[in-house]
Amino acid sequence: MVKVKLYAYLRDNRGKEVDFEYRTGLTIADIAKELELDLSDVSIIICDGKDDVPEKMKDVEVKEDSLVHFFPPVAGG
Amino acid sequence: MVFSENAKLLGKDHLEVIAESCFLVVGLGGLGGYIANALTRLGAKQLVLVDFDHFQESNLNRQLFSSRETLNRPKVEVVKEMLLQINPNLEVTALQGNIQDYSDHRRVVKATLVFDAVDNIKTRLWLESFAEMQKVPLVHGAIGGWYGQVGFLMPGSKLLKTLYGTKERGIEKTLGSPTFIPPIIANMMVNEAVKWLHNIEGLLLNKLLFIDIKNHDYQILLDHTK
Repeated sequence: MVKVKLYAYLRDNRGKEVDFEYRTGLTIADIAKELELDLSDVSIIICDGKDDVPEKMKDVEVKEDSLVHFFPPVAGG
Repeated sequence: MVFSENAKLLGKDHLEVIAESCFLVVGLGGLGGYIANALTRLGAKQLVLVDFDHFQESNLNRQLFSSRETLNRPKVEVVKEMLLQINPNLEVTALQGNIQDYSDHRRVVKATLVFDAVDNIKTRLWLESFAEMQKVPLVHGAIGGWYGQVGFLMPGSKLLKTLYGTKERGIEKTLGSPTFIPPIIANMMVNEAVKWLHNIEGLLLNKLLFIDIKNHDYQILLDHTK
């Protein structure tokens, strides 16, 4: 099972955590698509401790027990 | 003694320690006003405030020193006056304009701790580079809707560069900044500065704490100590 954690308003209508059935070749972009997440709304993706911008993370294939975080940019002052 | 109530928690040397620091607060919006207020009431001696803007009606919902009387006046000027009413001995420098234009100002380069309280990603990334160049820590805080984040970033962490990537705008453009979020995040930023100055454990050193006051979820999202 792949665990996905969402932050801030990405939680609206999706919840804080979503479990995904693992399948071979499942990428972060696939997960985002199934969650109807627009990657342009995401600032950083963390997968199993590795963090980077969506453009660099989207093609990463997750593992059977991966933990993926999607975090939007928060920048108000 | 004025402000000595803080010494009960922070120790007898608290006022000496805080007096030695020069705090640079960049941005006097929702966060910056509360930060300047807290630093002054903690007993800070040296403060530098930077903001280009004037108080507007739209600030009244959340900005500590905004009022009907201060509308249309430069924020730095108003905040300086208010802080001097709290502590007339405060050495406060008010710089109206963009921080980029004051990067070699004698008081700015003297800062020992920088507060990132601005409202845009471009300036936040500039501040991270500036603090790295000056070899001083950056206390980061940001807000949007029910959410906020705080971190205490040492030179070289490049956490903000990682965090924001190529993004240009944040969720606050849609969700706004409600009355109650700025004081929470601002005071958490000051709390981190106090822990740093007094070498108290629990500092968010090169970490980013995510704060969701809607669901009461608080967790360290990024850790650049590794």
